[in-house]
Parts: sequence; structure tokens; C-alpha cells
Amino acid sequence: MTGSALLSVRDLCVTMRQGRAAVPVVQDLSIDLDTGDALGLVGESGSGKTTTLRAIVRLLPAAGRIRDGQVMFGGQDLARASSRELRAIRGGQIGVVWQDPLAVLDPVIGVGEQIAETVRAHSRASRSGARARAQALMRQVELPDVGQTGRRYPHELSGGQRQRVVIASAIAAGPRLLLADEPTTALDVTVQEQVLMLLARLRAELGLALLLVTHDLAVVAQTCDRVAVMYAGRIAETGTVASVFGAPRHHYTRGLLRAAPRIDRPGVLPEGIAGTPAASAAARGCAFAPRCPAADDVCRTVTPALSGALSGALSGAGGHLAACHHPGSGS
Amino acid sequence: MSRYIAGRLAQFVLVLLGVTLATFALLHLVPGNPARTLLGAHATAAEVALLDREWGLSRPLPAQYADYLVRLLHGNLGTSIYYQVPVSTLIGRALPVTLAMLAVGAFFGIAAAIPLALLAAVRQGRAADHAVRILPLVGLGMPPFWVGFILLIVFSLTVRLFPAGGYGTTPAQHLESLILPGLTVAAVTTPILVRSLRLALVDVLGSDFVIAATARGLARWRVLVRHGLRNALVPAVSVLAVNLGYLLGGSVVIENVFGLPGVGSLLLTGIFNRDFDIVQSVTLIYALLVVLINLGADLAYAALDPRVVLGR
Amino acid sequence: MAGLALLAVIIGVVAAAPLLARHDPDQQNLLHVLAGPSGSYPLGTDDLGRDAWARLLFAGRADLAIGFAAVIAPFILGTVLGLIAGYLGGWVDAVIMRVLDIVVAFPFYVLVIAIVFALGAGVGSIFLAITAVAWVSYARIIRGEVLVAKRLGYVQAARAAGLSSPRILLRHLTPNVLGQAVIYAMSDIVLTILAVVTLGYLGLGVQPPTPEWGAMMQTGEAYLSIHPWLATAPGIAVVLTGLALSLIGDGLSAELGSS
Repeated sequence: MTGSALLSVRDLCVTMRQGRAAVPVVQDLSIDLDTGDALGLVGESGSGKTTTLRAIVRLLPAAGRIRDGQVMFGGQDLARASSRELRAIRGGQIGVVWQDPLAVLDPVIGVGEQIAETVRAHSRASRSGARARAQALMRQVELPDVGQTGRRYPHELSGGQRQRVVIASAIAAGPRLLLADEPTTALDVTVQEQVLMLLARLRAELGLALLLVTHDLAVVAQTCDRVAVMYAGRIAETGTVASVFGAPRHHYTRGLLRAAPRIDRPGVLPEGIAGTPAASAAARGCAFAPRCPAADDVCRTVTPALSGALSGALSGAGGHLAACHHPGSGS
Repeated sequence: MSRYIAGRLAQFVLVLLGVTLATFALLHLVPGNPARTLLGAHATAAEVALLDREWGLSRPLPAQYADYLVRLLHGNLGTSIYYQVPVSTLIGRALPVTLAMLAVGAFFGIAAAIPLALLAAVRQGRAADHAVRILPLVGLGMPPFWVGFILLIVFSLTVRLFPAGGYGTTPAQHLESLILPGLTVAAVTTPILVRSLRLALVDVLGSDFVIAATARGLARWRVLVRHGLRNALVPAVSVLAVNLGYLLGGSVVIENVFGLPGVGSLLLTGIFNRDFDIVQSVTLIYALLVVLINLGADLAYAALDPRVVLGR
Repeated sequence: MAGLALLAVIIGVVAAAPLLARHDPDQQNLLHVLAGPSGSYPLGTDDLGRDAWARLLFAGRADLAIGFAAVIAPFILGTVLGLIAGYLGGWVDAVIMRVLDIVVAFPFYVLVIAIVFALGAGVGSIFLAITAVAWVSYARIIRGEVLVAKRLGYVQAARAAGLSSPRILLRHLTPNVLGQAVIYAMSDIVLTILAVVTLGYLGLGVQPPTPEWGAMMQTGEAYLSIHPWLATAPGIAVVLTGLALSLIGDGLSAELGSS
């Protein structure tokens, strides 16, 4: 199964330098993504999900290091690729959609030019050719009046329009994989919906695989086929959306689902998860143990590995797995 | 936009008025009879009395100031006692020289500052960065004329590459004689420029859109120059403008060292000969230059950064 | 920090001038004019046969003393005006800022030179001229800090407690606002020393026969080809002093910035 995967992350370990110490923020993380597949990476702030995304394209902040593991993409290990190889892959094979579109666009250059420049970076297009392609892309992301809009500066557009520009430049060079880091978090609720639908449409039209990082379970449920739940730098549970959200096995996932307000169960109030999230990937034992209702001594001393029944007919990497010594049976 | 320019012009006029008031007051700061100051120590009592009556120097000060303003508006900047020609003629001849020198100096300064700042920003924390950061500390303490000496010793006296002074008569000679002074001007500007440009670059290079640009697969140099430098220039321009006053002042002594017939030398001649009209008028011209440059800098700032809305 | 160490060395050397100098700086020796560096005269002699090294040291006393002293008045004047402008706002602020605009319109050196010229050369004029021109930077900094501080908690609290304005100004605002001004003062001392030296070079500063770095450079200028040390050594002294002060300023701003 893994041999044919588009993206295959194996045992990734990332550390962040804090003062003199190198704190592990992602530990033994493995995920697979097939062509056209959509995987949601879910977790709270600090769970390491954004770090994972950035590690895939080797764009960690200055204090971050890939300590161990592989990031196999198209037969290459991105974790060990040269900068020249990376440059071709970034934008060309893997596109990134960021969280805050105002912060990721150059404030002094027109948006059309920024898209065109991405086109030129990955092809031999002329200036006018690139501009035409940029306009075509802007139409594809449903931006109105492309000639006019293309000449505008980022601060002159609305949040939704800006994010469409970011998406346009992410797909400009025809990538096979789209990494999205909280793409709708900075937007108004109504606009969120539109952008998510746009992403779904583009996926279908262009056959893109999608890795969507978010803390919002609803977004994952709407957009992704599969989901991986992260806690303290490790994957706690993974499987199809239906399976994980419908019958969660890890206690953290169950806590997350209980904490989300549900329209279809009006009488049931959301419950928080007791305690505070772990600061970094724990060395031994389950990181969630201090907050888990089912924790015991085994949990505190032995780090649980992902395991579980390959129940049902599932594509992608394995079935419904949970890293828990005493997984629930789902409810 | 036009409202902004109108507002700025009004401010400009106010400041100009104030400047003229200040230069006018200069004459009256000098202890003793203003007429005697203007005519010099060798004037006879009769000449002093004549000037006194002619220029109404015993009249109340506000009236004198009004007279002064009227004279200025007519373009009359007074007459040089030493040269016996209108000061405006002298300034007209000297100003282009000074402006040319400043232009050459600015060119060298920017040409040096950009690569140095880029180098330091890219190699943050390493040896190159520390070396570049020492530069402003040393540079700020260097007297401009002393730098001129060093350059003269090295390039003119030892190696005989450039003329030791003077301006020459042909444009080619002009340019040649502007190189060393230009370098000296650059030596004064570069430290300040490097410091603010480096800071701005470090700031910009850490921002999200630079990371995003790299994520789009853009070439490293393009990210650095097209996106990084372009954004860093914006705050650096305003710092440069603020320091321009200091720069103009330094040019006075630099002209002296290299014997360039610019307004700085004119000022000094006026001082040494106690030629008051020259001193007063040249000071006024300098102030005019500074105000114009500041206005230009504001406009440049707005042109560089589309987020700036003038006339808020 | 390195800056303090260097400055201490410089001040120490200069203060100990009488001990380190082998000859009287003012003593002329017309038989020994423009000599090159030698055992007895480490930097040679100037055009009147005086010991350049001794003159360098003694000039240091004059320049450093004036440089440090001349910063005090602008500092105080600028701080006071900045406090008033920032705190009171309104037309008081507008007037002070307009005056500031006018002063700023003149290049620093030009105005200083012009004023010294008008008043006559000498140390007193230098003080007056520099005070009249240099206060603006302090005023701007302090005013900016006050404007920020006005919004902060402790000013509102003091007002709510009914403290009178002058009291607020003195006891609460001033200590918090002075930090930036002190840092700037470090680089301002460098600028002031440069100004004193430049005035000396132009013959408008400290009058002979008192040795002064700028004046020494002026005499040395004529002899660049045969005796370059006369003109270059004082400049090196100025640069070193400037470096020391700048390092201190940098160190201070790192300290204060992090607190």
C-alpha cells in the first residue's frame, strides 16, 4: 500500500531549540497520502500539526530541525533533498496554502504579479504568457474582474479574495499535492464555506491530494476522506472520517468530539477536556495519560504505538488505528 | 492627494518663514552695530552711518524683518562685500557643484550599503554580520574631513590616481574631481544607511510572506531582492531623509578639504572674510534644500509603499 | 562591556596626560620643526616644533571635556520641552513642534557654524550654539515616549488618584521616559565631539594655543604629503572615542530594550 502513496512520511521527528535545549515537538510521526486523497491533520495549538506541515517542505522556523525520519515524495526523500531539488518541488509539485493571507502576500506588489511570478518560477513562460496564465488562475479560483483585481495590492482586497489569491498561487505551477495550514481560520464564517467548496472543486478538477491541518473538526468532516488526530507531537488516532468521528477509539478523540457543540443534539452541552495540553512530545508513556479517564500505570510508563483492527474495506494506509493501551470501542 | 500636497505646501511655507526669521535674527545676534558687522571692521564711521540709513537698521525689528522678506522675494540675497557681486550669482555658480558632489556621494553610499546590509542580514549571527555591524559604530565617529585626508593620502599623494583638489574645467574633469569627495560623502552616509537597512532587512526576512515566497519555489535571490529588499527600502528611506541634515552639514567641510567651489566653500569663505550676506544667504539655501529633500522623501515613501495613504 | 573598557582606557590616558607626555605641549622648538616619529617624539613634531604626542593627549582633555559637558544643556532643555509638549498637547505642543521643525530645517553643522560665527569663536559660543541646535532630538524622543506613556496604566491611575499635573510629570513620567534619551545621549556625545572637532578644524572652536584635535588636523592638512601623522593621528583618536561611546550606547539599548 505504501509503495504507491504520493506522500509517505515515516517516523518523522522534529525538534525546536528553546534556549539551549532541543525540545521534541513531533515524534515518530507517519502518515500516507495517495493521489487525490484528502487527509485532515487535527489537533489543538501546540500539538505539532503545523510543524509537521512545514517540515514536509523543509520550511521550519530557524529554531526547528528534522531530527529523524523520512519524507518520501515522488521517490525522493525531501528531508534530505538539496536546496535546488527543493526549490523545484516547492510550488511545482507541492503547493502551500497558509493561514493568514494578508501576512503571506508581499504588501508592495500587485496580486496578479505575485501569481505570475510563481508561474514564471516553474516554467519558461514569458511575462505576458505568465500574466495570461495568472488571469486564468484567478478565474479558476472565482475571483471577479481578473484584470482589475490583478492590479490590486493585497491590502485592497477582502480576506476571502486574498485567500483565493493564495490558493491561485499555490496551484499556479500545477502541483500534485496541496498542503493547507488552517486555510479558513482567519476568515469570516460565510467566506469559510465558500473557500472550502472552492478547495473541494479544485481537488476534483485538478486531481490534487490534500493535507489539511486544522483544529476545526467540522472543516475536516466536510472536506477530508481520512483524518489523523494529533496530540503532543504524536498521532493519537487515524482512520476514515466516518470511522474516527463516528466511533472514536482514543480517549482524546472522544474528548474532542464531546467538546464540539452539536446542532443535531441540542440538549447535549460540550464538555471540555480536563487539564492542560502537554507542552512537548513526552519521552515515555502516553502523553495524554494525565488527562485520560482510562489511564493506568501501563499508560504512564509505556508509549503506546498505533494499532488496531483493519476493519472494513479501506484504502490508504491501514484502517482505523489508535495509539492507546485501552482504546474504547466507539460510541 | 492634492489636498495633502496643499497641506504640505502650507507647512512648507510656514517653516520657510520661520527659517528666514532665524537667519534674519542671525545678524542681530552679533554684538555691536549690525551695519558695522555687515561692512566689516575697516569701515569708516561715515560708511556705517550711510548703510544704517539706507537699510533702516535703526528701525524697529519687525519692520526690518518685513524689509528682509521683501528683498528675499525679489531674489535679492544681498551683495558680497568681498567679491562685490550679488550673492545670488555666487550661489548660482556654487550650488550645482555641491549638488553634483552629493549625488555622486549618494550613489557610492547606496551602492556600498545595499550589498553590505544584504550580506549581514543573510548571514545573521555569523562573522560577516558582526563585521558589518561594527561598521556604523566606527563610521559614526569619523570626522568627515579626516576621511578626506585619508583618501587624499592614499589615492592622491601616494598613488596619484585622482586630483588632489579643485574642480577642473571640463565635465570630465569635474567628474574626476568629484570621485574622492563623493567617496568621502559616502563614508559618512554608508554607516547610517547600513545600520537602518540591515535592521529593516532582518525584520522583513523574518516575516511570513518571505517564507511563503520560498514555499512557492521562487529563487533565493529573487526572494531576497525583489521581496525582501524592496520592502526593507521603505523604512530605510525615511531614516536616510532624517539624517540628510547631518549629511549636508558634513559636506561643508568636505568641500573645503578638496577645494571644491560649492556652497559649503562659499559659506566658509563668507565666514573667514566676515562677509555677512554670504553667510546669511547660504544658511537659508541649506535650509531650503533640507525642507525640499524631506518633502521628496515623503513622496518617495508613499510611492514605495502602496499601503501609505497620504493626507489621513 | 567592551565600550566601557575602551572609554575608560581613553579617559585614563587623557587624564594622565601630564605623566605620559614627555614634553610640554605648548613648548615650541623651532629648530626641530616637522620631525618624523622618533624615540623622544612618538608622533613627531608639528610646524612649530611642538610635540605632537603631547598635544594629542592634552587636546583630548579639551575635546572630551567640552564634548561631555556640551551635551548636558541640550539634554535638559530638550527633555523639559519634550515633556511639556507631550504631556500638555494642544497649542503648546503645536508651537514647540513648529519651532522644532524650523531648527531641524537647518543642517546641524551649518547652523552651529553660523551661530558660532555670529557670536564669535570660543568655548562659550560653542556651548550656546550646540544647545540651541541639539535639543531637538531629545525633545522628539521624550515627546514620543510621553505620548505612548500617556495611554499606559500608571498615568491614568495617577490622574484618577487626583495627583496634580506637575507631580505626575516629575515623579512618574520622567523616570520611565528618560531611558531612550540617555541612550541617544551616548551617540549625541559622539556627534558633539565631532562638532567641536569640526569647529576646531575651521578655526572657530577652542582658540590656540590650547591644543585641540580639530585644530591639529587643520595645521596638519598642509603637510599631508610629508608628515601624514600630524593630521591623521588626532582623527584616529576621535574615531576610537566615538567607537567606545557607540559601543556603550549599543550595550545600553540592548539592556534597556530587554527590560
